Amino acid sequence: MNIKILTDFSYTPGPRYIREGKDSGEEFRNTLLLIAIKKAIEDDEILTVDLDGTAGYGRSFFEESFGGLIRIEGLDYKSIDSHLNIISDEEPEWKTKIAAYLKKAYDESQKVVSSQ
Amino acid sequence: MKKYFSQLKYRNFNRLQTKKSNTRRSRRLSRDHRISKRNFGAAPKKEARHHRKGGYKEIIAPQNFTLVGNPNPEEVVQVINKLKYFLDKKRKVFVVLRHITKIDTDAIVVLLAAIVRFKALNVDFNGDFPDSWECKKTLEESGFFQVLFKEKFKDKPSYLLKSNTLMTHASRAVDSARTAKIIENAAITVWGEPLRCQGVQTTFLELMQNTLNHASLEKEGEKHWWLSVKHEPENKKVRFAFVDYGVGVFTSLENKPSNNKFYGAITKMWEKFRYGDNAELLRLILNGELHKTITNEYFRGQGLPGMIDSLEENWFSNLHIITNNVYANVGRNTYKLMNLSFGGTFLYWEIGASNRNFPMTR
Repeated sequence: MNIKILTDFSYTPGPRYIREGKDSGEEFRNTLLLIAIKKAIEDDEILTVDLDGTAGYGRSFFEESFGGLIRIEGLDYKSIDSHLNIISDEEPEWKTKIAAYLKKAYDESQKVVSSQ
Repeated sequence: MKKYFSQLKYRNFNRLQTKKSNTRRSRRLSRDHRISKRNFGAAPKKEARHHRKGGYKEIIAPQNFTLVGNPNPEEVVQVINKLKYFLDKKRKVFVVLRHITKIDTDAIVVLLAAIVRFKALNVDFNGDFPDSWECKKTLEESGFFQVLFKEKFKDKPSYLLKSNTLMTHASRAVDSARTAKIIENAAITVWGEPLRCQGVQTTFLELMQNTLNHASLEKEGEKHWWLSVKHEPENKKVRFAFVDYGVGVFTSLENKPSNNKFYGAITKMWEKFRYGDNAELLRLILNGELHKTITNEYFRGQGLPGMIDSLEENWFSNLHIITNNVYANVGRNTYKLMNLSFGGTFLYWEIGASNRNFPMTR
């Protein structure tokens, strides 16, 4: 299962939220990423997300799309982690940053759980 | 004895007086014409007179009207602050530009942003032309007069002013398609073909997002960001000047609401680093120490610190930042405290032949 952002979503990924501009992280999560990752978890397959070939990304785009899987959609961190593969040959640092956004969203969700 | 005014000597006298009077009248009209050509407002003669009577608040631009590399940027910041002050008070202004001997893209974007805001709020904005032919030409090329001479002016979510070498963009939104196009065009000037510079695009996205989220203390998306792009094909270089008339980094941090993760951040930073002044604080923020202190993450975080990643990865060069009372030449690692505060954030950087790029994919 693959998503190539350049061909499946946009050449110019944009801001964090839909209200802030076109091709946002929120839109990417709602229209593509969430459905694909849920299916990958269900079918126990690997979802490959290829970041290469676009005009470039803002950090908020990834924080919202990937971090939002846990923070907004309530998906399980370990399930995402074991079913997600990121390709980013042009800017390899995004791979570590996306991993950090997922981990951070998970840690914050744990804080909320423990405070309840 | 009765005088006969029809006599020759009286007729000659009257002719001479009329001639003198006509000469004086002609000189006066000619002077008014020169003044009207020199001023750039809609009804210059009348406005210039009002201005002299005090109807206009006069703002005198300094000889060196540039921000980047100016040993005394405070002079320009003072002009910007006065414009902002009078706009807030809705007082009409007359900007004296005639003394300017040096002007550049970086300060023009600031002037353009000001004039658009005056026009949008229906506050009169007038002034004179620089005496220097070169400065006048630079202003003309900037699209400055395009805005100025528009009689009907609406506050719009985005603007585009362009000439052959200089383009000025403004928007309230995060417009990734527009900035990608700006980069492709810049690449044509620098490398002779459209290319991708992802680190520059990342920087644009961070700055636009910052303006949207942090430039106003009251409401998101209230302020425009402004970007001037100057192409220098002879040097294979493109220069970018970005400004938002927000509140600036420190004011924004000081006013975070209690539910924001950066609430009390400045106090936490001081407790941890015992920094001396805002110049030192900005250096810490750009090095990512603020983000690390608040989030415990190892990387620099979003916004301005993220720009430093792009600078270090050689996506662009020669980064300068002015925010509140600090001027930073980041490339040279010099941070200077200014004696007055700029209400907003100004950034400048360049793309040249030695910077990074990737080929187009579409």
